[in-house]
Amino acid sequence: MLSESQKPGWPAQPYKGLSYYGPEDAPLLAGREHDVVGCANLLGFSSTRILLLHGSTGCGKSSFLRAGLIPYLEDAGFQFIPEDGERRVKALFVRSTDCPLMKLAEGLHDFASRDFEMETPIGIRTIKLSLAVAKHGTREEFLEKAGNNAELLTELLNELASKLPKTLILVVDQGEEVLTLEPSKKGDDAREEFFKFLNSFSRTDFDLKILVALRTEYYGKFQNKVRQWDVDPVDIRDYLLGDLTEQQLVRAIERPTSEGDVLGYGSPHDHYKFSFAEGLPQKIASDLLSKNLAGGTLPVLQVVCDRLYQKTKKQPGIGWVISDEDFLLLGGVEGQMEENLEHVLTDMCLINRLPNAEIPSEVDRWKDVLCQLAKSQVDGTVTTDVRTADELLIAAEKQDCRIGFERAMQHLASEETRILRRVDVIRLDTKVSVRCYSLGHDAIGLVLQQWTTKRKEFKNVANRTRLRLRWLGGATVCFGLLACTALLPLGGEWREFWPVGMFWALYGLLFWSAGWKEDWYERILAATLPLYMFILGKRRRARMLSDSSFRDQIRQYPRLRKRFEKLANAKRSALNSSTTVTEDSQRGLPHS
Amino acid sequence: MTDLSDRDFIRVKIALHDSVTLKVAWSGKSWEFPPYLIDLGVVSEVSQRVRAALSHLVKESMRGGAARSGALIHSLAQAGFDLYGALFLSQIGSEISGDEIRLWLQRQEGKLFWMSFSVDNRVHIPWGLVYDTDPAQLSGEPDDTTIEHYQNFWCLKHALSTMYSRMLPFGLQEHVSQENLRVLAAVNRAAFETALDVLSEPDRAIWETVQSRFWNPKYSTRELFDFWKSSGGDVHLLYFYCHANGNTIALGDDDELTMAKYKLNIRRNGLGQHEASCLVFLNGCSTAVGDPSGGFLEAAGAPGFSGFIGTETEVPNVFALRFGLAFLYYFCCKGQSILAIMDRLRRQHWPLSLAYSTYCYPLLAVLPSEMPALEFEENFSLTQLGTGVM
Repeated sequence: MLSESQKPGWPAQPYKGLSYYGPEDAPLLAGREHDVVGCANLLGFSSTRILLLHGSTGCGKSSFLRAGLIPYLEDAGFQFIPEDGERRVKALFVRSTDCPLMKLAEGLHDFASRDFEMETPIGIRTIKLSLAVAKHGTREEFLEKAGNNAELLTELLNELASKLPKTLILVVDQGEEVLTLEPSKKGDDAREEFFKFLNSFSRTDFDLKILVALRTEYYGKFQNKVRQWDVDPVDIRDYLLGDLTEQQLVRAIERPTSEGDVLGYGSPHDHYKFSFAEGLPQKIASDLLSKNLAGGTLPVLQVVCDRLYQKTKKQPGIGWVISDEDFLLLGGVEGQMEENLEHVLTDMCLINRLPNAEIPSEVDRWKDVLCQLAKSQVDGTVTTDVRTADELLIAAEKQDCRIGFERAMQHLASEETRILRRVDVIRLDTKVSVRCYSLGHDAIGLVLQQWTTKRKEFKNVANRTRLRLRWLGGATVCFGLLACTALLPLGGEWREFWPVGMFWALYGLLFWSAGWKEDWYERILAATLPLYMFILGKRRRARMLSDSSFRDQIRQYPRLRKRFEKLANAKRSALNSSTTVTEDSQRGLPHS
Repeated sequence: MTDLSDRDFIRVKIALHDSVTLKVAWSGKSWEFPPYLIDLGVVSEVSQRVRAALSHLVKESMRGGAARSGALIHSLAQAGFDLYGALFLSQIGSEISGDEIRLWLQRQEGKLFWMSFSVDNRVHIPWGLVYDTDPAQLSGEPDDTTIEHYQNFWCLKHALSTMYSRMLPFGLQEHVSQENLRVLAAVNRAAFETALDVLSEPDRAIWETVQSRFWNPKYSTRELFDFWKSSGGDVHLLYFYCHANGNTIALGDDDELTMAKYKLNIRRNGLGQHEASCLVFLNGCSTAVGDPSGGFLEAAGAPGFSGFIGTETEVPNVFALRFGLAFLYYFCCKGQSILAIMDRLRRQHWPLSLAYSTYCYPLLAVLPSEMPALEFEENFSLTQLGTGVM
């Protein structure tokens, strides 16, 4: 239970969308109480020194750690390496990347560079942790030494553990990255060094625990590496964070509408003022589970609930009920991740005042850029890659993106959108920190991959047809012209057939040109191709082309344009009516 | 003792630093001291002496009665005082000297503490037998067995508990009702029947109360695990009354349950994974002593268990039966917390009650209900202790 002074209050948003829950969101985390206690018990057991916390994509590992397990463990007397000099709650998650040891060294150096003050009954005491790192020289020199030296890092951890009263816990998040990123020799070296570190750590007894969070798909590979490196099996335990059941999903949906007190924060309903129509949370939960959504149910649940909340939100202080109709209008649970990505990118275009007509193409271009971060693994899974800002800038330039790179990155990596996550990685060779990005959630990778696959399929069909169209159009033009040339000298009544030849020539020209210009092609193709095929006697092909799904794909662009235009107009008028502060802040944004 | 609100909370965290060093950290609700390192070898050796002194006390009491065991209690206090010294004997290079904390603690004389030891399960020290004043001031005469003279044993002075797991297990937030309480007893039939014959009339009345409501004994390991499994693993109290040492308990002449066998059975039958946290009372000899492989301490600190009550040395069979019976009565029938029960029993059945230590969540209790008020008026230490040790 928190004291009045410690209570940070309810978070601004009741649902987090694609963003994970942080410590400040702890009262909103529901349905994981048993997992928190179970996992904490396992970690609290003295002989557990390394805990592998694994779960499938989208089961909510990051939120579970940040808003569930860590606050619980801190209350129980554990200590996490904090960020920004804060002694409480803000745990440092060492993002694995392809070089976790370097990230660990960096985090430890920054932590140990500060004095650690503690209030004892006989006055304030200062523990000078800096002495432990100072002997290794400057930050750069330390990173040079410790960044790829498992023994040195273990020794340093030992020294820090002996100076701190509480049990230190290091969290290595996205542990699978050590296996999936940088499949080169350089990556192999970093990988080996990380497992060597685990081995060296497991041979010691000092008061520190390591928690590695990773995806279940990589658990076997990770364990295999652990065994290869002879990490003491007695020290390692694992905890499977299962997918939420229907009942747990309902609790997660209903938590912000609960009328009772939650963890001493008071009633969430009193704060957020909304509720669901009876049976709606159950319906959403059962829909989510019945669709067998790739990428996990939790991200979709968050996106659906966040969008429902945002769409139905009333003026502050006025309560409202989210009805079944609101849910129906949203379009159910399927396709929400795609729609969310589409919305974020469209918003970005609108904020950057792109003409409506350019928005669909710009959205596609940024999707292409983001695809750089979706990495398909040999086993068919999709993970997020980590790319430097420079690599992404080159990709954006290659795609000829209209929106400035920095503005786009700022928008996509913002707390509200969370499409991207910024990761600063230290290069092994230069020891310089490089700004990198990864996808905000693996589920976005899946969306992008599906989009790429669909687009590739469509482009393949379209390209083949366009090529044929060019040949056919050319041939028809030639036939028309030849017919005209042949008919003209004949004179008499043959001359009357001359317009027919001209018609064929012009019709052919139309098709020929349609084969060159994408926009024309899509429109003409959609309108005339089935008929053309029918005339040519290719009835099956004509039927296929007149099939609605194929036509839909072909007509996607004009239709999308109309939709975007409508949406754009609505948003533009909303933007115009908003305060000038928004415009000022937009002007202040850096433009590459 | 049940009201802890008047006591200041102190947590003493003792973790292994390396194979020969312990890290000790003292903290309260709003303060903490930097940690210091102590020598595991020294602490282990002193705690062996403590247990040896306790063993001597028990054996001599069996031979000649506890009424004239003042000198032996004095020796135990002396060993406990050495353990106190070892606890604060910090190594050079520690962030704070152990003496600074010891002096601070001495200045708190008169204050009541709820002292919670949070200990690595590879460290088996009888923290309750720490004695914090030099016993040289006491006479040490054989007749001087008065408990008031030995109030400086930490198990008497403070509300002391030791936990091997840092976390509170499942289900501790809500007290279980008597109707839902499930007790499973594993008993060595021969030892049990021998001791049962010696019970006095008042004891028998209590025995019958416990027997009628909660007694469901199993006389072999097979029966024990079969029943445990069939109950869905949902047992609140697992009570053993059998011959034992640190890592083996014997329910029969040919029926020994080793630590390894116990762990395997727990794992194989999926026990200890349930929401009800199970308290284990190992009423046999030296069950809290542990061994390098962890012993029962480790098993009873695992997820699904809320810890255990064990013995620091050998215990006489009749004394053990009566002590266990009294515990069952106060816990199951009267709804008192472990902390309150153990404090009461330690004082009432002094000095052999020192053989029992608690390594569990101290406030664990069953919801009280209307039960006949029965009292154990005798001091079990001063009557017939038994025909042998457990």
